[in-house]
Amino acid sequence: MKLKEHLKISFRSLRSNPMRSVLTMLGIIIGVSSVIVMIALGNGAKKQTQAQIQTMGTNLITVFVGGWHHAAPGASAQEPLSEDDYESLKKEMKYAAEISPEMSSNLQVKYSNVTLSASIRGVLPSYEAVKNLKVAKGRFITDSDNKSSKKVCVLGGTVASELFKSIEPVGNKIRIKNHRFEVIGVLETKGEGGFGGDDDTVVIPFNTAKLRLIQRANLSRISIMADKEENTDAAIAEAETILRKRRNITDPSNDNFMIRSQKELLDTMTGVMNVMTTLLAGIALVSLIVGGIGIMNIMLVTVTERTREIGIRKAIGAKSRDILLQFMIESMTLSLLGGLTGIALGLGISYMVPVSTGYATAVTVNSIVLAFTFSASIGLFFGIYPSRKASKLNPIDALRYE
Amino acid sequence: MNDRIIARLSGVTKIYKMGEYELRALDGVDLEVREGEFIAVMGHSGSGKSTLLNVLGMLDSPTGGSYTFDGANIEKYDDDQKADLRLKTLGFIFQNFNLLPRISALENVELPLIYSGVSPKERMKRALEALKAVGMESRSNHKPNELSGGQCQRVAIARALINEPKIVFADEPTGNLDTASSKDIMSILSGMNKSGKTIIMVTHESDIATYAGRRIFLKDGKIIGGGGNET
Repeated sequence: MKLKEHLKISFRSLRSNPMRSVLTMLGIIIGVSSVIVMIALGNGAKKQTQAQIQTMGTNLITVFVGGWHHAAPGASAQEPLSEDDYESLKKEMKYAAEISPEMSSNLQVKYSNVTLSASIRGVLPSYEAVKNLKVAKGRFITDSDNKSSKKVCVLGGTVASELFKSIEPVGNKIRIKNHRFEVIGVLETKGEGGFGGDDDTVVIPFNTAKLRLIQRANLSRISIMADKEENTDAAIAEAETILRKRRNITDPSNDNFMIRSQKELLDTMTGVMNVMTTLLAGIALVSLIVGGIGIMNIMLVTVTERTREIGIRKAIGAKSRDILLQFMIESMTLSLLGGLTGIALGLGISYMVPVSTGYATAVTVNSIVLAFTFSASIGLFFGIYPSRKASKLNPIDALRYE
Repeated sequence: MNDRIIARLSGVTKIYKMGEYELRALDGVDLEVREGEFIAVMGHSGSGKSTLLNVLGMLDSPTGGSYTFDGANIEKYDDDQKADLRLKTLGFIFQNFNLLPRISALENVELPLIYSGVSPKERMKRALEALKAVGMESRSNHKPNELSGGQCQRVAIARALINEPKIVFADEPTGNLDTASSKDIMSILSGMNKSGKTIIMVTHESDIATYAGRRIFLKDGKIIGGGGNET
């Protein structure tokens, strides 16, 4: 007997009970579509995070004050970052393409009657390259601005738009503390969210910060750009060696400074997002299994209901294999059709979510393949028991069944 | 009728175990069926006549004894081999017709041909011919619930004949029919027998049994009359 005939028989009996068939498939549809949507959401979040971190440059290395261990009793007091630290790093590092000290403070910024809090950063012109900044309007600070401690500033995208609304910022003056700064440029908005971004900063020359505005002796941090992305780890090691030598540290666990790279952050975030995606997909897979049990349940009911039909078919000469195939095809059809519908629904939802909620989604081919093969194997697995039960029925008993 | 023996039972027993109690539905049955015979199996309910039919029709396996069908020893056959024999060499007519309710008369008649792998075109042609032979070609697209009992039984006969079986088994074929329909069905069956078909029929109605050429009486699983070969 040909497969085509088996398909015909199975489709016919599924069609004879459309409501039941659709409800049974619903379990698989929901399972498959949630697998796809969950993985798409997880991947979307991962990609968004990666993109945000990458806008800051993956070869960015930042040296901070302090260390993980300085709270231990007897440990050396926290040593601030000094300009000398910066000078020796600048002089001795081979893997650093650009380097900039940073002296920052959160201060009120005012223009006409709008006041907001921003991170004021006193930096050198090299900071533009180190942080991968792009000037949208005007210019960045220059060496001459720095040398003469000019009161000029470059605004982060968010600060500029909130402070000036539709007014042109470049050429206007803003007030920080009791100093008036001329806006010489506006940075492009990166949209990087909360990862120490540059959108809500006001960049001013380093000497201006040191001598006029913030007036501290110590640096907040030192930003270094490795010459190549693959040299990032080498650059970190190099910077550590230089700083330990300067500070007479022999045991790395006594470090009184901290070096972090954007790459590390990227790896950590990617790891976190992967775990989240796996978790979401796992939960969705459970619902797929529940859908499979639904198929098995309905197939068992179907076999009982059609005991007589099975008896008749066997009496006129159907082999066990014919009956087995008939019911296997029914359960496979339910799960495959449910799987395909679920994929369509999952793609639809993955497309709608960013439009309606703003969460990023990224559908992967893998998730579709995973959901589809899983639903197909569920049809196979949960169909076997009821189908075997049907095929093993004794024709006499089946014919007598009322 | 010729003298060729198509089916032979010797010392066949069928025992149903119900806990401690054993029910001997067939108790040492010897029977020879010749090609072209029309046999009526008679007896009270519980005499084992349906069991005998099921064993002969390979729907049920005997507990003991031997069954030779068309020269082959059936005891060694597995379920699928028996299914194949049923498909190709046996036809069944049941008291309650046993048609599939959701498909048309034509499709019911086609069913055995589907399992024997006949092409759709050929199937349709042969099924229509078979329906014509029982006078049902005008109702070929009706479903069983749109047909009367007599009409259903005609469709069932067409289905039983579609694969040119060597033996047709009929289990109380008129049990659910009125007198007029019973007469119709019996004249179809005796027509089939006259054109050479071997028929084995179970019945408890003696007037129905008169259509048969030979009558066998069963009691408590034993043949008590007609088992020999008097014609």
